[in-house]
Amino acid sequence: MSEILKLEDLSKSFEGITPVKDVSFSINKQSITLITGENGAGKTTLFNLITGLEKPTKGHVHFNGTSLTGKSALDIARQGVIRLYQQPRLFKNLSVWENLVSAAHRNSGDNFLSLIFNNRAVKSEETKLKQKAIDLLRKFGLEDLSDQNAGELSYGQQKLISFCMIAMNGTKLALLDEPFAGLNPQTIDRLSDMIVKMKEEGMTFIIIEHNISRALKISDSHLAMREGSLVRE
Amino acid sequence: MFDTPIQILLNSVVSGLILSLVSIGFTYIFRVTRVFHLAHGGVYIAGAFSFWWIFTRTSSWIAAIVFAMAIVAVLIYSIEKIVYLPLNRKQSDQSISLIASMGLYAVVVNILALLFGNDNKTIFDSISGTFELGNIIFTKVQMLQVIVGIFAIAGFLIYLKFTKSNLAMQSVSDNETISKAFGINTENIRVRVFIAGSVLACIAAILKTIEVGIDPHAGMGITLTAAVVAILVSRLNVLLIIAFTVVLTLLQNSVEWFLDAQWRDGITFLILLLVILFRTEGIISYNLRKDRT
Amino acid sequence: MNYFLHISVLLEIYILLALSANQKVGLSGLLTLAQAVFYGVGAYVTAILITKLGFSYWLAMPAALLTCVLVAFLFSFIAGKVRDLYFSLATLAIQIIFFSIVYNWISLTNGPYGIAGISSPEIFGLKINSPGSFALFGAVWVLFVVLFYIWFLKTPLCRMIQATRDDQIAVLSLGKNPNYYKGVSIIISAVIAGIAGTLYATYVTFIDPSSFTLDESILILSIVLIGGAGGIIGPISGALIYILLPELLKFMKMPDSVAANMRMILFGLLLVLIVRFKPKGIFGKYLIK
Repeated sequence: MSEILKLEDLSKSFEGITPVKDVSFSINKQSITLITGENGAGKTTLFNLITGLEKPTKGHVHFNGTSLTGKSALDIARQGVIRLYQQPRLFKNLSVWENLVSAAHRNSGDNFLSLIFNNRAVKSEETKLKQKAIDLLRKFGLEDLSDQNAGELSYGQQKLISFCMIAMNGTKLALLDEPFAGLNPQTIDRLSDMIVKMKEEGMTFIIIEHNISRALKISDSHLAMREGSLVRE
Repeated sequence: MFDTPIQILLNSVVSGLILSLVSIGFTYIFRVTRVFHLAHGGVYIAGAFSFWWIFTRTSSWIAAIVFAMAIVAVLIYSIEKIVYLPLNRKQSDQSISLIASMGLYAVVVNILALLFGNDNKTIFDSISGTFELGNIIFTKVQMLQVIVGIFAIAGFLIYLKFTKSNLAMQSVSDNETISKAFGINTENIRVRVFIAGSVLACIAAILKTIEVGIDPHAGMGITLTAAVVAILVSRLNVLLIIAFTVVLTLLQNSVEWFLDAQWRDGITFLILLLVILFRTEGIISYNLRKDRT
Repeated sequence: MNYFLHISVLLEIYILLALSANQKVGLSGLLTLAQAVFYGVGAYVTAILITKLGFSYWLAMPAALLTCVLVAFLFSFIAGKVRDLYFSLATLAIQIIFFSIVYNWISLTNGPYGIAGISSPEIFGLKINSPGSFALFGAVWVLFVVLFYIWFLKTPLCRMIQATRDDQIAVLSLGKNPNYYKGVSIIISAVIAGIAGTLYATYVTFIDPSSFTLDESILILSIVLIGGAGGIIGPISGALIYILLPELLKFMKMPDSVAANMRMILFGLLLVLIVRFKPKGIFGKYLIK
């Protein structure tokens, strides 16, 4: 088992507040790590720091051997570190399959030049991606939703679909921010299964959750945060 | 040698003071209700025409002023209840109420133009006469404007204190949801700020009408200048708003006098553009902040 | 008959403007108060190159469109920095600054006196200077742009542009650059509005700053919002309503002076009603939140 993510003394402070203080830990590939803590303990800020939405004031982040410290959110996401938000973020005016295809890495079709000059490649990639999207939905039992408008889905369905988008993306490290929040027990089971399936296919997860019992069922290790620091390993 | 600059300074302070009545209203409305109320200019012109209409018929100052304020209050109350509040309840984005306010401006100003004509109006038996200090001219109208202006601002501040609205307004401008949770009647606060702001604009309109008459299509320009102040001043601080308005007016008049009259708008909005680019919250931090609440 | 053809040309120009605004508003969700800037840049660059440097239309037009693209970069920069309301306000500021420049830079644009004597385009020696030929010429351009959209709306690039509109943070989090999609959208919008500008300049043969004001931008925005943003039918119907409304009023024997105000009242009212009750617009596909 190799180390995929390593944090060294990661800290963020501003205007007298230190939401994240000297956080250090490392995560192994193909594992699921749970982070718990009260509201305001700094968990979401930690995610923001890892994904580059906020810049750390101290410390380092290493991913797969490269340093992510100080890199832009776009660069970090392109390395395969993808974030799921507490409120599901998807493209509400597009259909579900379109959401998934939009989430996938493309070689063509989404930039102007390739569209004009490489039309045939675009068309074949489009067909392949649409098929991949439908297959993914089928794997998770969600294929009936494929043509529905994402904005019309229920909250639970939106959470599941936004997870599918991560799965489409070729994500290496997925950071899930309270994935179970607001879901009924059956949906939590479904999502848990989906997470475990993707772990088996090579994805690494860090999960922030308040629903500790459910989350512990699928987690390999557990970190707790309080007032910005880790309190137990 | 210093006469011209001093005259410009004097004129700018006076007209800046009057304009600050408009910008105080606009800023309070924008900060408290989050509406970028471009229709403020329409309300302004409505006040001006209402005053003009009654005054040219009855020569009664009191009747004209009361009528104008009544019209303005009813107008803005209707606009808030019919358009802005429902949009607020739907949690529409600020751009939406901006669009709505532009539509309202077009409707109000063009109805007024239909009723009163598209051309400028003046009041013929208004106050004339000047005071002179050396070569500096200070007209009686300007004196009236300064006195009434100061009283209006004082009145506004007293109103806020008397009704204890200031704290509530600060609170709502900070976070409307939390204010509601603390039992603040946000709808009531909205109405108050709209009416107070519009009454101030009405007073400014009347003062300007006495001085130079009414230009039915000047409303937008006046509002936009007030809007520049509103974006520059990020807090509900009346003195700051007045100061910024006077400085902006001084800047505009200086440009007009020393450079070329027509560059005045360009400079004003270049300032706005730079302020927007450098002083407003970036896209990522705004979204992160929204996620947290 | 001539009058009907004249109305047709105006309609064509406004359809192009509406489609260009739809690119920014409907597909990218960027509420712009400066569409008249691209319209004006297209018109003025064409006019200046034709009258002052003797360019032909076919040389002036690409140059005008290129200038529009350059101006689009400014807008892209702003779109990448500020959000929603402040983006709209920034475009408003640019619109007013643009007008100020055009009005005051007399050596370049002749300021308020305008530029006259803009010659008509020529195809294979035939001059397009009658209402009929221009209506046909304009129709070809409209057809070209409509066909472009019929293709473009189904492309992955367009889908990503719409995804950026729906949630740019999600796009960013998935490792894609939202600023790229906004930029492409703004450039396409600029080019189409620029085309409308070149048509306008060579059709009316005299342009002055008063056609490219904030009012014009607000009008173009309203056309898209009323007709409905997102697809092709919406903007076209918005343009139809805008052009045909005064004709309807004339038909109802309304005097001209009243008609101008009446048109603005009806348009303003429509705008408020749409925003308040039917945010998708009449034929729109996209709901402006």
